[in-house]
Amino acid sequence: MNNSVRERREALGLSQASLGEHLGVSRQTINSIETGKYDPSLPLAFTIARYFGTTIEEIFDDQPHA
Amino acid sequence: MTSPTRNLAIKLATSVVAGSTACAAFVALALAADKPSLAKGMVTGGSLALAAFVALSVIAHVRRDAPPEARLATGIADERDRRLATRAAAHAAIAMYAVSVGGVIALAFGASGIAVLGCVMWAGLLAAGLSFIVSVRRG
Repeated sequence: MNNSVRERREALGLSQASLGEHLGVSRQTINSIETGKYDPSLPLAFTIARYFGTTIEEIFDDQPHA
Repeated sequence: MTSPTRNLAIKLATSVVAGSTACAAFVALALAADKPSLAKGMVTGGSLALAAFVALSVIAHVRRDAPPEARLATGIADERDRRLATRAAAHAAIAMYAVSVGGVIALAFGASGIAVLGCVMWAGLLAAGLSFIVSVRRG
């Protein structure tokens, strides 16, 4: 699943580890989400969206880009 | 001694005492049944398991970026770690079922029951370990 977690994290000047600390997950989990290898659970997706002050739909996109 | 370090020391001491007690009980049972080889295996296996638990706990405590297995062993796993462990357990169950089918056939042909059980156990352990390693490497 495509997502904009990396762009939003970098815009805030955060490392993967510090974002992970804020969200209560490991650095590896943040890395896996950013690279699209791991789709977060719904509760974690909501936590991510709230952290960035937006909605899940704005961050995660299940439609493959042309 | 800082509070997290003291908590870790207490947790490790409790775990080692509980694990050693459980292991000693099984060893006593094996010795009472006149199975010294089994008792020796229990001592070796129990010691290795306890040593691995202590090592993973210390790694998880010392390293900020601890590996998933260390976080799982010390109870600080996140949802991805638990998903990896669940997948490994599922693969272990499939492997053990497959080997147990072969084991039933082997038993019908006169194979030793303890050998078949050992094969089932090791198949599960190997499948779980392999699945976990591959899943972690793939991200």
